[in-house]
Amino acid sequence: MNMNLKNLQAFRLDSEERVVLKFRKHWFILLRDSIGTALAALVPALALVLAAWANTSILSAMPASVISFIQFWWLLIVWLALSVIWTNYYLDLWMITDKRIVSVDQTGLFSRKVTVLPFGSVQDVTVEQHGIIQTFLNFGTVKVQTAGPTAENMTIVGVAKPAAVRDKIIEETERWRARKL
Amino acid sequence: MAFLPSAAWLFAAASFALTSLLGIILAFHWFRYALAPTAASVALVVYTAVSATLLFGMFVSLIVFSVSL
Repeated sequence: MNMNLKNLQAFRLDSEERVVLKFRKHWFILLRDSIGTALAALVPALALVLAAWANTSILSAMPASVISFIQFWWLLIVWLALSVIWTNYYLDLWMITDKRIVSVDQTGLFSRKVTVLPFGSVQDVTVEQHGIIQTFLNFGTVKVQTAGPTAENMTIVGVAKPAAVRDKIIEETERWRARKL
Repeated sequence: MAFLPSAAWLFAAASFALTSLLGIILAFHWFRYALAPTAASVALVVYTAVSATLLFGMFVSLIVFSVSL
Protein backbone atom coordinates (compact mmCIF):
# COMPACT_ATOMS: atom_id res chain seq x y z
CA MET A 1 0.00 0.00 0.00
CA ASN A 2 1.39 3.35 -1.02
CA MET A 3 0.95 5.74 1.90
CA ASN A 4 2.14 9.24 2.32
CA LEU A 5 4.05 8.85 5.57
CA LYS A 6 5.05 12.49 5.70
CA ASN A 7 1.43 13.27 6.46
CA LEU A 8 1.19 11.17 9.60
CA GLN A 9 0.81 13.99 12.05
CA ALA A 10 3.41 14.22 14.82
CA PHE A 11 5.49 11.48 13.25
CA ARG A 12 8.30 11.61 10.73
CA LEU A 13 10.39 8.73 9.43
CA ASP A 14 14.13 9.17 9.78
CA SER A 15 16.05 9.40 6.55
CA GLU A 16 17.31 5.76 6.72
CA GLU A 17 14.29 4.35 8.53
CA ARG A 18 12.51 1.48 6.79
CA VAL A 19 8.87 0.44 7.27
CA VAL A 20 8.72 -3.31 7.88
CA LEU A 21 4.99 -3.83 8.39
CA LYS A 22 1.82 -1.72 8.12
CA PHE A 23 -1.54 -2.99 9.23
CA ARG A 24 -5.07 -2.00 10.17
CA LYS A 25 -7.79 -3.56 12.28
CA HIS A 26 -9.41 -6.79 11.07
CA TRP A 27 -12.36 -6.37 8.68
CA PHE A 28 -14.65 -7.91 11.30
CA ILE A 29 -14.17 -4.80 13.47
CA LEU A 30 -15.50 -2.64 10.62
CA LEU A 31 -18.39 -5.06 10.10
CA ARG A 32 -19.21 -5.04 13.85
CA ASP A 33 -19.11 -1.24 14.02
CA SER A 34 -21.22 -0.68 10.92
CA ILE A 35 -23.74 -3.53 10.92
CA GLY A 36 -26.22 -1.73 13.21
CA THR A 37 -26.10 1.43 11.12
CA ALA A 38 -26.39 -0.54 7.87
CA LEU A 39 -29.43 -2.41 9.18
CA ALA A 40 -31.02 0.93 10.12
CA ALA A 41 -31.37 1.53 6.36
CA LEU A 42 -34.21 -1.01 6.44
CA VAL A 43 -36.24 0.93 9.02
CA PRO A 44 -38.42 2.92 6.52
CA ALA A 45 -39.24 -0.23 4.53
CA LEU A 46 -40.10 -2.09 7.74
CA ALA A 47 -42.23 0.85 8.93
CA LEU A 48 -44.17 0.76 5.64
CA VAL A 49 -44.73 -2.99 5.92
CA LEU A 50 -45.82 -2.58 9.54
CA ALA A 51 -48.20 0.27 8.70
CA ALA A 52 -49.71 -1.72 5.83
CA TRP A 53 -50.06 -4.76 8.07
CA ALA A 54 -51.70 -2.72 10.84
CA ASN A 55 -53.96 -1.19 8.20
CA THR A 56 -53.48 2.34 9.53
CA SER A 57 -54.81 5.39 7.72
CA ILE A 58 -51.42 7.17 7.90
CA LEU A 59 -50.23 5.67 4.63
CA SER A 60 -53.33 6.53 2.64
CA ALA A 61 -53.29 10.10 3.98
CA MET A 62 -49.67 10.66 3.01
CA PRO A 63 -48.73 11.33 -0.64
CA ALA A 64 -46.31 8.82 -2.18
CA SER A 65 -43.82 11.63 -2.87
CA VAL A 66 -43.62 12.46 0.86
CA ILE A 67 -43.00 8.81 1.73
CA SER A 68 -40.29 8.64 -0.93
CA PHE A 69 -38.77 11.92 0.36
CA ILE A 70 -38.55 10.53 3.90
CA GLN A 71 -37.01 7.26 2.63
CA PHE A 72 -34.32 9.05 0.63
CA TRP A 73 -33.54 11.35 3.57
CA TRP A 74 -33.21 8.38 5.93
CA LEU A 75 -30.92 6.54 3.52
CA LEU A 76 -28.79 9.68 3.20
CA ILE A 77 -28.33 9.89 6.99
CA VAL A 78 -27.41 6.19 7.13
CA TRP A 79 -24.92 6.70 4.28
CA LEU A 80 -23.28 9.67 6.02
CA ALA A 81 -22.98 7.68 9.25
CA LEU A 82 -21.40 4.73 7.38
CA SER A 83 -18.91 7.08 5.70
CA VAL A 84 -17.78 8.41 9.08
CA ILE A 85 -17.49 4.87 10.53
CA TRP A 86 -15.41 3.70 7.55
CA THR A 87 -13.15 6.76 7.77
CA ASN A 88 -12.51 6.19 11.47
CA TYR A 89 -11.72 2.55 10.72
CA TYR A 90 -9.42 3.32 7.79
CA LEU A 91 -7.43 6.03 9.55
CA ASP A 92 -6.54 3.73 12.48
CA LEU A 93 -3.26 2.11 11.57
CA TRP A 94 -0.06 0.69 12.97
CA MET A 95 3.43 0.51 11.57
CA ILE A 96 6.52 -1.40 12.54
CA THR A 97 9.70 0.19 11.27
CA ASP A 98 13.25 -1.04 11.84
CA LYS A 99 13.52 1.39 14.80
CA ARG A 100 10.10 1.63 16.48
CA ILE A 101 6.39 0.91 16.54
CA VAL A 102 3.94 3.63 15.52
CA SER A 103 0.27 3.66 16.43
CA VAL A 104 -2.17 6.08 14.79
CA ASP A 105 -5.52 6.12 16.57
CA GLN A 106 -8.35 8.07 14.95
CA THR A 107 -10.96 8.29 17.69
CA GLY A 108 -13.21 10.83 15.97
CA LEU A 109 -13.29 13.17 12.99
CA PHE A 110 -11.22 15.73 14.86
CA SER A 111 -9.50 13.49 17.37
CA ARG A 112 -6.25 11.75 16.53
CA LYS A 113 -3.53 10.20 18.66
CA VAL A 114 -0.12 9.15 17.34
CA THR A 115 2.04 7.04 19.68
CA VAL A 116 5.64 6.14 18.93
CA LEU A 117 7.33 3.34 20.85
CA PRO A 118 11.10 2.89 20.30
CA PHE A 119 12.36 -0.71 20.37
CA GLY A 120 14.70 0.28 23.20
CA SER A 121 11.75 0.44 25.61
CA VAL A 122 10.02 -2.79 24.53
CA GLN A 123 10.04 -5.36 27.34
CA ASP A 124 7.45 -7.95 26.43
CA VAL A 125 4.88 -8.62 23.72
CA THR A 126 1.76 -10.66 24.40
CA VAL A 127 -1.18 -11.77 22.29
CA GLU A 128 -4.75 -12.19 23.49
CA GLN A 129 -7.56 -13.87 21.59
CA HIS A 130 -10.91 -14.37 23.26
CA GLY A 131 -13.99 -16.16 22.01
CA ILE A 132 -15.02 -18.20 19.03
CA ILE A 133 -15.11 -15.32 16.51
CA GLN A 134 -11.60 -14.07 17.28
CA THR A 135 -10.25 -17.62 17.21
CA PHE A 136 -11.86 -18.61 13.90
CA LEU A 137 -11.23 -15.30 12.12
CA ASN A 138 -7.74 -15.06 13.64
CA PHE A 139 -7.72 -11.60 15.10
CA GLY A 140 -7.08 -10.27 18.60
CA THR A 141 -5.10 -7.91 20.79
CA VAL A 142 -1.35 -7.41 20.86
CA LYS A 143 0.04 -5.81 24.03
CA VAL A 144 3.50 -4.28 23.99
CA GLN A 145 4.82 -3.75 27.51
CA THR A 146 7.48 -1.17 28.08
CA ALA A 147 10.19 -0.63 30.66
CA GLY A 148 9.90 1.80 33.56
CA PRO A 149 7.13 2.55 36.07
CA THR A 150 5.75 5.51 34.16
CA ALA A 151 6.16 4.08 30.67
CA GLU A 152 3.04 3.77 28.56
CA ASN A 153 2.16 0.36 27.18
CA MET A 154 0.83 0.01 23.67
CA THR A 155 -2.32 -2.02 23.07
CA ILE A 156 -3.19 -2.93 19.50
CA VAL A 157 -6.83 -4.01 19.52
CA GLY A 158 -8.59 -6.00 16.80
CA VAL A 159 -5.55 -6.72 14.68
CA ALA A 160 -5.52 -9.54 12.10
CA LYS A 161 -2.97 -12.37 12.58
CA PRO A 162 -1.85 -11.10 16.01
CA ALA A 163 0.75 -13.85 16.47
CA ALA A 164 2.49 -12.80 13.24
CA VAL A 165 2.49 -9.18 14.43
CA ARG A 166 3.98 -10.21 17.79
CA ASP A 167 6.66 -12.28 16.04
CA LYS A 168 7.53 -9.36 13.77
CA ILE A 169 7.83 -6.96 16.74
CA ILE A 170 10.08 -9.41 18.63
CA GLU A 171 12.17 -10.08 15.53
CA GLU A 172 12.67 -6.38 14.79
CA THR A 173 13.40 -5.59 18.47
CA GLU A 174 16.10 -8.28 18.57
CA ARG A 175 17.54 -7.06 15.28
CA TRP A 176 17.60 -3.48 16.61
CA ARG A 177 19.34 -4.59 19.84
CA ALA A 178 21.92 -6.59 17.87
CA ARG A 179 22.71 -3.50 15.81
CA LYS A 180 23.15 -1.45 19.00
CA LEU A 181 25.67 -3.89 20.53
CA MET B 1 -50.61 22.89 5.15
CA ALA B 2 -48.92 25.64 3.12
CA PHE B 3 -45.88 25.62 5.37
CA LEU B 4 -45.17 21.97 4.59
CA PRO B 5 -43.42 22.43 1.19
CA SER B 6 -41.36 25.34 2.56
CA ALA B 7 -40.32 23.30 5.58
CA ALA B 8 -39.49 20.33 3.34
CA TRP B 9 -37.38 22.54 1.05
CA LEU B 10 -35.52 23.96 4.06
CA PHE B 11 -35.00 20.43 5.33
CA ALA B 12 -33.66 19.27 1.96
CA ALA B 13 -31.35 22.30 1.72
CA ALA B 14 -30.01 21.57 5.22
CA SER B 15 -29.39 17.93 4.23
CA PHE B 16 -27.53 19.08 1.12
CA ALA B 17 -25.38 21.45 3.20
CA LEU B 18 -24.65 18.72 5.77
CA THR B 19 -23.66 16.23 3.04
CA SER B 20 -21.38 18.76 1.35
CA LEU B 21 -19.73 19.83 4.61
CA LEU B 22 -19.15 16.24 5.72
CA GLY B 23 -17.79 15.41 2.26
CA ILE B 24 -15.23 18.22 2.54
CA ILE B 25 -14.20 17.11 6.04
CA LEU B 26 -13.88 13.44 5.04
CA ALA B 27 -11.99 14.26 1.84
CA PHE B 28 -9.58 16.36 3.90
CA HIS B 29 -8.91 13.34 6.13
CA TRP B 30 -8.63 10.88 3.23
CA PHE B 31 -6.13 12.99 1.32
CA ARG B 32 -4.15 14.26 4.30
CA TYR B 33 -3.73 11.18 6.49
CA ALA B 34 -2.36 7.79 5.54
CA LEU B 35 -4.17 7.18 2.31
CA ALA B 36 -2.79 6.79 -1.18
CA PRO B 37 -4.10 9.53 -3.53
CA THR B 38 -5.75 6.87 -5.73
CA ALA B 39 -7.63 5.32 -2.81
CA ALA B 40 -8.65 8.79 -1.58
CA SER B 41 -9.92 9.69 -5.07
CA VAL B 42 -11.93 6.45 -5.30
CA ALA B 43 -13.41 7.09 -1.84
CA LEU B 44 -14.35 10.63 -2.86
CA VAL B 45 -15.96 9.48 -6.13
CA VAL B 46 -17.99 6.79 -4.31
CA TYR B 47 -19.06 9.23 -1.58
CA THR B 48 -20.07 11.86 -4.14
CA ALA B 49 -21.91 9.39 -6.38
CA VAL B 50 -23.97 7.79 -3.60
CA SER B 51 -24.71 11.13 -1.90
CA ALA B 52 -25.71 12.75 -5.21
CA THR B 53 -28.04 9.83 -6.01
CA LEU B 54 -29.78 10.06 -2.64
CA LEU B 55 -30.01 13.85 -2.77
CA PHE B 56 -31.36 13.64 -6.33
CA GLY B 57 -34.06 11.23 -5.12
CA MET B 58 -34.92 13.58 -2.28
CA PHE B 59 -35.21 16.65 -4.49
CA VAL B 60 -37.21 14.84 -7.19
CA SER B 61 -39.66 13.61 -4.54
CA LEU B 62 -39.88 17.14 -3.20
CA ILE B 63 -40.55 18.63 -6.63
CA VAL B 64 -43.26 16.05 -7.29
CA PHE B 65 -44.81 16.86 -3.91
CA SER B 66 -44.65 20.64 -4.47
CA VAL B 67 -46.18 20.37 -7.97
CA SER B 68 -48.98 18.13 -6.75
CA LEU B 69 -50.22 20.74 -4.26
